[in-house]
Amino acid sequence: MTDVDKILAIKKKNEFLVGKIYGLYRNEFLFFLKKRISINPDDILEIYQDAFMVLCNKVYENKINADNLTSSLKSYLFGVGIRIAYNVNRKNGKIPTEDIPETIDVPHDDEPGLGEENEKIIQKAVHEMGEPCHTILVKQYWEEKKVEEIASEMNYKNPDTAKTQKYKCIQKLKNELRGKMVYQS
Amino acid sequence: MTEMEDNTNLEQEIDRYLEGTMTAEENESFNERLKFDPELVREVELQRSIIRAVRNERLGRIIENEERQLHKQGRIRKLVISIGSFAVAASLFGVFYLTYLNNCENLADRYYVAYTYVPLPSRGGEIVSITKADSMFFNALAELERGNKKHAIKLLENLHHSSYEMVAATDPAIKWYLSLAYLKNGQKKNARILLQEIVKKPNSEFTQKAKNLLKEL
Repeated sequence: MTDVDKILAIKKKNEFLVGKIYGLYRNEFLFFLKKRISINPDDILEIYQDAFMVLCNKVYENKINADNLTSSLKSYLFGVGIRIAYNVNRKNGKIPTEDIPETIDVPHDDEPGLGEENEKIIQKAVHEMGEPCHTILVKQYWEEKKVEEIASEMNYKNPDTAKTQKYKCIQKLKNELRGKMVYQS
Repeated sequence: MTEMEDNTNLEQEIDRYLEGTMTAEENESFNERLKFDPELVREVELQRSIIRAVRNERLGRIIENEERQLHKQGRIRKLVISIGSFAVAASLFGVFYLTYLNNCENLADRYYVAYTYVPLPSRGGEIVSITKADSMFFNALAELERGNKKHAIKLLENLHHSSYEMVAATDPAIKWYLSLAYLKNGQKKNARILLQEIVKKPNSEFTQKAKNLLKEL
């Protein structure tokens, strides 16, 4: 399986292959990070999982695709992992003293984002969303279904009803989040 | 246009922007708006984070599933390694035990000589016939020669622990052949005890043999 094949499998959300790609680099990464960076062993697996999610999201957002891949997928994944590990250490008051291996391309975090705390709040809110909102969002953003398909699968009268329902769900979620999130000036 | 329609359109616009499905012109124009509209930036970031959260939830399930599979495989691998190690250990033990048995049997065979009994006439000139216990003794030796070690041991132990009347077989002879039977069966410790008992009685025809065998043991 080449890197391009892997990118396509992630992009198409082939859950079986995404799982296999996750497993492919798992042990090597755990060994690599343990050897390179002084870090709490309990954090390493979580760092790998976060790095893998970052990689997948970059593929979904088309920031990584078959045409713009400059380093290997593995190198990118390990680079993201190192960056996350440094952030974890920094947060725990540890100053990184290790040299970044030359073979690893550590990508910069190119988005300001809403901050780690807010991301956690959003993740929790999505997880706790009731029905039918949760299913609608999954069908829209994970399964990438058109509003017509969502209407048909969820027995809405017509696509407009499904669209309105989705709007209501998003608004409800956003309103809930606005009350919980921490904004930095 | 109602507020709801406005918001829906904005969301769709943000969705298209985040999916990268806008035309180049639309994308450029949207980027321009982002430069001067912090509220829009915040909306984009919020929508991006919501979409990521939905994806991460699903990715989390895939990862959880894969972790379960990996642990299962790990457990199976450990089990296979354990069974493999046990099989190798059992084989080694088996080889070792068979070699040990073979060595014991060879040693016993080197010392084994058929028991000869020459009947002596009694005072009255008549030949004293052998007893049932003597028959059992010769039977035990025949079993030993045929390789039925356990049966031979059973018969000889029976004789050794009893006080049957015997004409042909003697106590040192029973001890000697029983010790050889033990040795053939790999029971070195039992054989050694009997040989030491024989050595304690210096006048027996088996005393020297027992001493020699003890040395080799």
